[in-house]
Formats: sequence, C-alpha cells, structure tokens
Amino acid sequence: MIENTKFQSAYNFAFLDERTKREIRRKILKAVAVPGYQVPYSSPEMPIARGWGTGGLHITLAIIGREDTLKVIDQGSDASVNACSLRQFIERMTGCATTFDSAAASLIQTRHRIPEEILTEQQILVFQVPQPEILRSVERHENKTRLMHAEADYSKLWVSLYEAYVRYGSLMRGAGYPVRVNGRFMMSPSPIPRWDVPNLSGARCLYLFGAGREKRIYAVPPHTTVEPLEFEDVRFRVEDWHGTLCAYSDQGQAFLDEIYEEDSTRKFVVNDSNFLDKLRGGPRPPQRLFQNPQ
Amino acid sequence: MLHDAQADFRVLLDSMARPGQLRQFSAPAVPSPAPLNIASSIVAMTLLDSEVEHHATAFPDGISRYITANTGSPTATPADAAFLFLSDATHLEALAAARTGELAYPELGATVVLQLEALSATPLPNSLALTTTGPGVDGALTFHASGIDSAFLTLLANRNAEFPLGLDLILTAGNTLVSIPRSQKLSWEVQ
Repeated sequence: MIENTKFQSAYNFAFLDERTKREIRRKILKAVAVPGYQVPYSSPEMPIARGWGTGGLHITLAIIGREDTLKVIDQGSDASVNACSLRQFIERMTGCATTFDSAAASLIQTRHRIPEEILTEQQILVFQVPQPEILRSVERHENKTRLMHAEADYSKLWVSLYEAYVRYGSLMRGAGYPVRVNGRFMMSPSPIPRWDVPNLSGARCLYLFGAGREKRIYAVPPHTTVEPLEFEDVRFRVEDWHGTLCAYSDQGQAFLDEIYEEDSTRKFVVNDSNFLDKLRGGPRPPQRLFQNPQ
Repeated sequence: MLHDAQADFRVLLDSMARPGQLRQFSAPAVPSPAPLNIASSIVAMTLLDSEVEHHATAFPDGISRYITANTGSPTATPADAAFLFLSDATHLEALAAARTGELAYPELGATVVLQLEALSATPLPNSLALTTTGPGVDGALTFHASGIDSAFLTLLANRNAEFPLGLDLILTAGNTLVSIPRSQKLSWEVQ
C-alpha cells in the first residue's frame, strides 16, 4: 500500500501560515495595549465554519508553541463535541501536550465559561466569542457602534438596562453581561454566566477574546479593572442557587447546571467538569468567590 | 525559525500584558547588525512583513535595508510608519510625528521601539527610575533605565494623553525588553 504522507506534512506548524500568524500576533498586541477595544483582523478560512470557534482557534494557533500544554473546554466541559474536535485538531497540527487539568494547562481555549479554579500568571485563557459587539443589541449599524465606542457614548446601553429593570424588575442579562474595561471601553465578556464576570477583574492571567465570524480580537490584561454595569441602587448580582448542592459532590459555591431526569425530577451538578473531578477526588481547589450585595 | 518566532512572540505578548516587567529574548540564531540591538532586531523579525511599514530613525542606512531585506517591510516617514525604531531617546521629532491612531481605530497608533543603554530592575548609575501604573500592573511597578530622559517621557505622556489614542513603547537593551503600552501612566525621577 502506498501511504499518502504528502498531505500530512503539507500543513505549517499550527495550521496557519506564518504570514497570517504574524498579522494576528500584531493585532493581539494592539488588543492588549488598548484593553477592551475590538481590533479588526483578517479571520482567515479554517476547516470549521465561522461561528464554531474560529476566532478562538485563530488566537490559539497564532500563540501556541511546542512546549504548551493545551486545555479546551466547552461550557465547562472537556468532553463535549466542540471541545474534543478543537482539541484534537490543535493537537494534530502542533503535537503539543493536552490536559483536562485547569491548573496544568498553559493555554486554555474556552467557550462560554471561565474555569472555577484560579488561573495564574503562567496561563492564558482564550475565549470563543459569537458576538463581540456589546452595543449590537441597541444599535445595529457597525459604523454607528464604532462611533459610540470612539466617543465613549454608552447611554443607549444604560437605557436598555434601565428599561429591563423597570419592565421586569431585574437587569435581565444572564450570559454576556456588559462590562466596562479599565474605565473606558464597554465590552462583551462573551456569553459567560454572570457567575464568571467578577473573575475578569484583577485576574493574574491574560484573557484574549477572538470572534471569527465578526473578525474581531480583544483582550483584558492581568490586573485590569473590569466593572459589570450596575446602578447605585440596583447592583450586579451573580447567580444564586439558595444553598442547593451539587448532586455528585455535595458541594456548592460553584456554577451549577440544572439537569432534568427522564422522570422529570431535576438535579444540580457542578458545570466545570475538571473542578467537579477535583471536588470528588480531593481537597477543594482555590477559587475566587464574589459576594452578592445585600 | 518558525518556533523561534513563536517563542519570541510569547515573550513580547507577556511583556505587553505585564508592563514594567523586564523580559529577555533567548539568544537569536543570527546576530543583529550593530548598532541595532538584539531585542529591537527580534521585535522587527517577529512582527514585520510586507503589510506594515517601518521607519528606522537615526540608524545608519544599512539598518533599514537590513530590516526590509529580512522582513519585506517597506520604509515610510515617521508619520506613516506602523513601527518606529529609535536608536536613542534624542530624536523627539520622530516621536512627535508618529501616528497615534484615530478614535474609531486606535490600533492604528504606532509601536515605538526605543534602544537604551541599559534596563534593570535594580538601580543603575546615571539612570531614571520609572514607575508605571495601569492595566497589567498590580498597583505600581518601578524599573530603571539609562539612556532615556525627561524630555522624551514628557513628549510621550503628551502624545498618550488622549487614551485610547497613543503610542505603544517597547524599550530594549541588549536582549532585554520592557513594554509600556499607551494604557500606562508613567512617572519618573532622576537618580
């Protein structure tokens, strides 16, 4: 049998060609220099469709090296289809080590969650972002939202928050809660739950955000102030399960998934799969917890 | 080469994300031509290609040709260049002309790579103690640089006054670098 090896080595290390990587790298540096600002970038074609994690993949592939240990999570889970296929793809294209352990990874690509365990100076978290423009819900034209960011004119966002409160009695934002970075740019934290939003502020690791379909890269450097939008008398709150514990670990103080059984009973389970494994296997890993205002 | 570029970029990214902290590039496979120092040369090799223009201010002509030959980056005037390489801190006219971006597109602000005599976390003779605060810095961080003066830093502060417009500065000495992106507030005192 003649093995077709030609096309196995036809890819560059980390799939992207060096020129494309260099363009993405320049944009990442500018994103870090202007925290929260969305830098337009090329968003080249990938072997997956735009909107399925290409933005995160572009960033990961542009920065990953042979010495990196990679972890990919999808809504807290290492084992969901999106996480598995992206992890296998990156592994095949780089030959780097992979792990499920949040503490052992040097590079984590994530969809819609921040790991519960505290991330350190040695780690970079790359978010897959479906809609980077936090103002899109109040203004549909890109040229206008760009002008609003340029002028720091966020009044429409405040009004939408106020309207949600007067109509429904709460701020009505579950995932993707608007945040202000370094007192300047309003930013979409990607659809992470409110539970994760306080972890963006003053973190020790670097956060990078990639939106492939919308062709935007942005960043939150370590030790940066990230404030969720709130009113003086109506404060930002994280999810509260009123003392409900995880059905598998009997512990709380973590983001819980609500799971319905076939007989329509329900149970709650810790969403971060690696954190759940650690809770069941030993001492509780270090966490940063946010206290809801009274 | 490919893996060197990746490793060098990670050093740069770490440096840009943690302003005021000293970082070292590992020794390059090819030495840089004097007077271009190793770190400035690696920044050029890592980030430049034919899509971005550079200006090498007050370097001998050969340096700009060296950068173009190795990266494909065309030359431009200081006012048009995306990357400005300064041989020392006395060339204020280039810093004054460098582009700071537009409010709608602040990423068009230039990256300024300035060569210094020495950078250190501990005090140096005849140096400035620079203290930086801002995103990426836990409180405030002080480092020491010789070869930079108040006139340069005052002009830089003026050019960075209207955040998000501004210049992202990379200080280099030997193979050491310190990044001061535009988000930082710098203060300094002579030692």
